[in-house]
Amino acid sequence: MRLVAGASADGSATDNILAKPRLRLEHVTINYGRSRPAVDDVSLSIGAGEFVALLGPSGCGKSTLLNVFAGFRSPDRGRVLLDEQPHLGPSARCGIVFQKHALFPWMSVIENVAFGPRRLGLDRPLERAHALLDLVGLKDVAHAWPSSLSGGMQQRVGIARALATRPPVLLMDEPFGALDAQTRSLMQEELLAIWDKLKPTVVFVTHDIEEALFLAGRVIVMESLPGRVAREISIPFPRPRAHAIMDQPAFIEHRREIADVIRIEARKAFR
Amino acid sequence: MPADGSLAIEARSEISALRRTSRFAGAYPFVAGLLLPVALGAVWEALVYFGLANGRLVPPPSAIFRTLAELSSTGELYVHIRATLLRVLAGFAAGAVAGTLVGALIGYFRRFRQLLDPSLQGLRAVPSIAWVPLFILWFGIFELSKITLIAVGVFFPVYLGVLGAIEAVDRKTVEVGRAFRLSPLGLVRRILLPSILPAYVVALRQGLGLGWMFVVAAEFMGASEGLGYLLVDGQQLGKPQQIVAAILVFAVLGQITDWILSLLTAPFLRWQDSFARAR
Repeated sequence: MRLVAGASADGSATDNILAKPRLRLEHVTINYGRSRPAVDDVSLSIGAGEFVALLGPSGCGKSTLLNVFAGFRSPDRGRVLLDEQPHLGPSARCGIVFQKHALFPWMSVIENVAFGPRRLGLDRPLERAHALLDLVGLKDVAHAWPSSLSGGMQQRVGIARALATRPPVLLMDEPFGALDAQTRSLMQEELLAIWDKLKPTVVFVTHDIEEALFLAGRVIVMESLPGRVAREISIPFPRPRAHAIMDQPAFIEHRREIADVIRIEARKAFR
Repeated sequence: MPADGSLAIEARSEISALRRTSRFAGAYPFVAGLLLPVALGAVWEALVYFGLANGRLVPPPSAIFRTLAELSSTGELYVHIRATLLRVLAGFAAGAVAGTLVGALIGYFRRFRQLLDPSLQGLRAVPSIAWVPLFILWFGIFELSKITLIAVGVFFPVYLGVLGAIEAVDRKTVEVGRAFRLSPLGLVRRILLPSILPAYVVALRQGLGLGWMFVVAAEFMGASEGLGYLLVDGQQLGKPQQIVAAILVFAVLGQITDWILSLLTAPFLRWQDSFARAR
């Protein structure tokens, strides 16, 4: 496939954490005008091609952090670096997938996917869009309206649109949160397959522990009020992964460990 | 592939939905809707015909159609239709343009909203007919005062529709546009405009409906021609058949202009259309 460039899909046992940092946060603080900052002095480094999950109870600032990565919000203190360059404002180098697909309802599926390539003036935008739709298994509905698709299909179009310009970074804000359990687990496997082919750097925001464990090479657990990194956990399961790993003792052990951290945090936020 | 499975299911449900509607498709709903008025008309016609009712205040259908035929054979009807239609169109155009511009301005720039919206809401609370004496003093009794009154009626639904539509735009789609560095103008043209279009069309149709409402009030202010004049004339000379005839023409014209408006805007809303069908 022409779109797959340079990615080493050798199925390495762990994600390439030693790769040069693609996204970096340095002492990032964000206030929403409340007494305690929404994000307090967070420093993170995410390597190229890494799959990182931001996990935490609602209100822990994980979506705020994603907005910082996307350039929609600049930090009140601290710096954001993309490929070691200051990252200011929204950029086509970060593809974004939202919880509610946010497709353009007035464009057909294929036009939605071709939107980015057209905007950036890439050659053969429609061809690129078709290739991406093929990748997410939706080439049959290229000319349908988004509103006529199921939730899972709409979300896959969203992923195709985010990837159509081949951005080095893919930011995902609880992308499967609104899907039913069966569709969600299919989508998780599909996302891993796509990631394995294109190897973008993925930052995946979720509050679902199993989802984070299944997908990510590294899980960053956030604590709330103020939003900080509570714990970083490397997930050692070999790739490609199948849902069967969820039954392994190691998986269950990780899940319990993270659940304990999150329960404390959720209780803090609940008050 | 899960896609194929769900696609097939969707296709099947669509086919069965088509089959379900096809049984009732065609003329049946239209005919069903006509049954009641036609039956009532026929009964009344028969009662008057056999002398059981005199039909002087409530004219039978035949009298109404005779009046319509007379008015149209002298060409008088078309003079009145033309006058009313021109007033509605001029008032609608002025009101729609003003409502669109002000709504867009206030919807797009928050600061304008705090400045202008309270005053506009205050003006909206005034029953529009209350402006009539003032408009006559300002603009005289001829066309300008009538068109202004209609424009005021059209302005508010269009203004509110545009404002609401801009507020309801999915912020995430705007962010996608920003990520691809659309300029403010590009955001308006490529994201905001198509987003608000469906609600805008609804607002325009509401505005047009109010335009037809206000043209009657405007023509009651004193007019020598127009369908409103036919109403007043029918009342003063005791010709109920002329009043009902004018009401019928109003209904038909209102429907036709609304239909033309939705026909003109349909090409921009094809995607919404398919949404309605998928439901």
